[in-house]
Amino acid sequence: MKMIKIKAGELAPPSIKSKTANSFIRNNWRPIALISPTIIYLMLITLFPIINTVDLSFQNVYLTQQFKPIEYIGLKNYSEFLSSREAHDAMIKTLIYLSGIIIQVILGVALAVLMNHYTSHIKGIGVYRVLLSLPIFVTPFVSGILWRYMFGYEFGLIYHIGSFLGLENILWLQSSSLVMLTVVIVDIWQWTPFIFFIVYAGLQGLPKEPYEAAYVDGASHWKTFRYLTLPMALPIITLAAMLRFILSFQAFDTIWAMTQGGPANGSQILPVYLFKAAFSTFNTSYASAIAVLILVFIIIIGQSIGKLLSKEVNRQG
Amino acid sequence: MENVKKRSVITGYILITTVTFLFLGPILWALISSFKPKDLLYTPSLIFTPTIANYQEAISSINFFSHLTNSLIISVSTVLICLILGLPAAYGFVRFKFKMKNSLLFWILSIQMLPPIAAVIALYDLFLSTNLLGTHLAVVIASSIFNLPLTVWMMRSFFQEVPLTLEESAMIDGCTRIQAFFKITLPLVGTGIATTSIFVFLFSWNAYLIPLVLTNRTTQTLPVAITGFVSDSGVMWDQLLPASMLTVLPLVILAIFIQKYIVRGISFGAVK
Amino acid sequence: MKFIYKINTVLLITVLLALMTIIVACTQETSNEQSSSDNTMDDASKPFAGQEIDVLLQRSGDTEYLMDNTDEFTEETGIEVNYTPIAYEEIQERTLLSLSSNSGEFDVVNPFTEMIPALQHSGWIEDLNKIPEEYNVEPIDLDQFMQNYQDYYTFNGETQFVLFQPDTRVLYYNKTLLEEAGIDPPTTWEELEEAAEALTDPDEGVYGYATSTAQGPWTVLTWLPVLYSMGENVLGPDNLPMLDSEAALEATEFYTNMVHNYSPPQGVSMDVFEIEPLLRDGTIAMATIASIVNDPNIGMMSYPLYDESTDRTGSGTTGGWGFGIVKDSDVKGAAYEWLRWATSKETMKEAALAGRLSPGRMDIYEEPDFQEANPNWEAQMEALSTSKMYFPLPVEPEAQEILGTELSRIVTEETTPEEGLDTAQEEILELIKGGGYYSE
Repeated sequence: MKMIKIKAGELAPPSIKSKTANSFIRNNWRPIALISPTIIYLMLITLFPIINTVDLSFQNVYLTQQFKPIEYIGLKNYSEFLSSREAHDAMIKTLIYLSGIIIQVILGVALAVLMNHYTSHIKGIGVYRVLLSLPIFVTPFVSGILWRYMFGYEFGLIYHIGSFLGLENILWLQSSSLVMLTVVIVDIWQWTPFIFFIVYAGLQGLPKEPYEAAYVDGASHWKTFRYLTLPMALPIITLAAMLRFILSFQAFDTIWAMTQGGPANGSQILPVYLFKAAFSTFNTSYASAIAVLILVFIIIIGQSIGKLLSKEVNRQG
Repeated sequence: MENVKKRSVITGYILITTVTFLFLGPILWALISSFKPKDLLYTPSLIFTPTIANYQEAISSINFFSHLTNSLIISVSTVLICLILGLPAAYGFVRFKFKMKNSLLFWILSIQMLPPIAAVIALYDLFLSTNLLGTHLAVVIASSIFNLPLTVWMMRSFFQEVPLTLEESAMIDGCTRIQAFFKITLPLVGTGIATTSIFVFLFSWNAYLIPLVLTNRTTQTLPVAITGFVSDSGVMWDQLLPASMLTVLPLVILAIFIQKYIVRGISFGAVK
Repeated sequence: MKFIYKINTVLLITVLLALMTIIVACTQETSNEQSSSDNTMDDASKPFAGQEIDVLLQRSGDTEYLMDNTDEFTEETGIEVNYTPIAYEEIQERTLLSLSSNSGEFDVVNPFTEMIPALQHSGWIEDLNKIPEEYNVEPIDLDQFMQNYQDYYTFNGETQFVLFQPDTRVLYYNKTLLEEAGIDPPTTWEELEEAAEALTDPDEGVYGYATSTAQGPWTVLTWLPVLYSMGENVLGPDNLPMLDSEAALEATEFYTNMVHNYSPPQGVSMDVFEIEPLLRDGTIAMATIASIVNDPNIGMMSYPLYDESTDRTGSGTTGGWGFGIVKDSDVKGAAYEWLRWATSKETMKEAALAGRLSPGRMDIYEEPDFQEANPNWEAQMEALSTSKMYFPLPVEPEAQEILGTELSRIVTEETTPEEGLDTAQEEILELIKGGGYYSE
């Protein structure tokens, strides 16, 4: 009886439900009109790929063995991933790679503060600004290739600078323990300007009056930064760091062009591992399982970023 | 006092110049090397007679201008789609309260974080079944997926900086809400639009995996085409370097062109 | 007001850019239409006039020649050809993605040899012997192509590919360095090691030997000639992997020692593109790399023998590129005509001269102008025609990935030769069993 009651309770108020839905639409027609095109567009195009990927992850599809019968094999792909040494290794490498973002943010903010400090004293600051932001514009695939050229034994620039300083035998790209550091350095080179670009523009827009007051009070540079600049610029720094973090999941081209994940899997971060599963070994289903796990990971991360930023969001209401 | 100031300015010059050179070094090196005659490419020597033969060869061997056109079409269209869809959405997220607002925002954000590799097979199937494979439209749609969330999030933070009171006072003066948006709010986020457009343009210009899988010869973009200089027998540096420089050039021009609009500050404070 | 002015300028620029791209796009479309409408006339000598074929190919000097000179072919036959050139690194994924989804995107594909088994087992490629009769076209003279390749291209009695541009791994040496040291090009391992030892002088910046050791196919392909020269193979009878054999261990130890003792420190992970210039400028005296170097100062030879008494199973591994016609294609006749043109003696010779000097037709090697352009033609022909495929199963990509990773780990001393080979043996055996290619 009870169960039926609950069911009936669920079924009973369709009129109420549609009424609330109607009033919801009536109250919210403006935001719905503004936002729904984006939501529908994104849904339309990502829904099919996501369902398809999840479905594939439970099967045993190989791109190269389509003559074989396709079966559902449950969670086998997932358990294989979680127990694989290579996958653990890739996850650790990914964390190392992501930690480089902290350095990028610190350097980028420092650079922006430095440039901002001298803006009115140095002529042609605009030229410096453009020159400093150039690394962002280098196509990632090209920058990977370019750095391979720079690190090249005998003919590379780095090799020659190294031998000038007496350090010629640093195996930047040839040592599986050092290669990740090289990858992080290249990443810092390419993305610090990105943080700088955004933060500098933000600093330029800060009001001038507090600084004048601080100058009159004789506050030190550090104090001015700590108690004036940093609090005022925090939202833009957060935005820059967050954008960088989000974009970092797309990192693949540079590493692929530079090392293909080697030597000895030394620079194999998760996207490279995923690419290899999909297109070097053609294990479509296993690759799909990795993609799903990355997706879950991203959603968790997205939620925690959400909590981190919820203050800001609420402030805006 | 004067002396101290002068000295600090000189330190500033030295510091900033050094840092700029550090970041510029690899590009400068590539630029110089791209003018080297073929046989000197593998030497660090800086003494050589510059030649543009490499550039000519690179341009003619990959049909450079048709790829340039493709890249332009795809990137400009992506920017337009992202702005047309993303601007209203960002505005809606800032100005209105509604249920599930935060969840929707984070859902959009998580799409941006999706690695293209994870979606590439499914996107290929999608465009195959809709008969769009090999068209510009397919690449534009796919790359707007990876840039629309960025647009929404960036524009959202720009709109947040425009006080609601400005719009309200305009409405008291007899503007409709839409007029207020176009007359007051949109001009104020002009720099934001410029910044966002430049990033969307940049990311769709530089995208590699998606256009690689979705294009054919007539629609291939520049980054896809220039990777052809990496073959199984090695890297054709003599053509790859000039081609890379030419790929980056339009972006640099765009950056120089638009920079004075961005330098005014990412809107904050412009109104505070 | 100032702000409004600025936003207007930005908008203006955007609109102008958009207009520009639209105009260019439109002009492109129309020019395409014009060119295709020229060829609609019917002609008895042009049975395929007006048909369009789509060709997927690797971007290289050879294929660039094809793409640039297709106008003659189109004029002769009335067949329009659309090319999609793809870089080496991604052609595998592009080909398989397209074929596996039966996209009908391409009529002709251009796989490299390691992809062949997967394509054959999947039945995506048409039998070339069937087409001439069916479409009433002149057959391609398949006897003229290197037979070891054409054998691998034949599956269940169907010849599915034509060899276009083969390559393998060979031993190169810097003639000046060897002459100065009074050393003859080595023909056995012992001689190779002796020569490398004599030539290595780190203080002078000269190293005796280097080989492609970068992770991926590179290291596998340069390791295989060592294994072959000992008379061994990766797969034994019944597809049982032989990586736990004495010979495999010895080959791996030799390979690793040569790198550690006679290569620059960077040699533990080097690519062909890094080695080639070093070989040219005399930093490296001898090197095992892909057979693509063409320099009068660089000599080439098949890989040395273990010792004079061994009987090797091949010099290097078969690499390189062939063309095949997709079974789903609805313009197979036209595609076949194109294939015959692309692999004809004249076209292929010109393509080779414009590209890698490594054509798949034997008769081109007898041409005086080809011999003049390629001083190593004799050694090259020998190395290519004795090369052999090491893993003729559809799971080849996975096997290569496993082997490539383990070899990279061995050379960079992350693991020992024994352990690395054991891991590879285990994983590859599992792979083969899983695919049902071997059962105890």
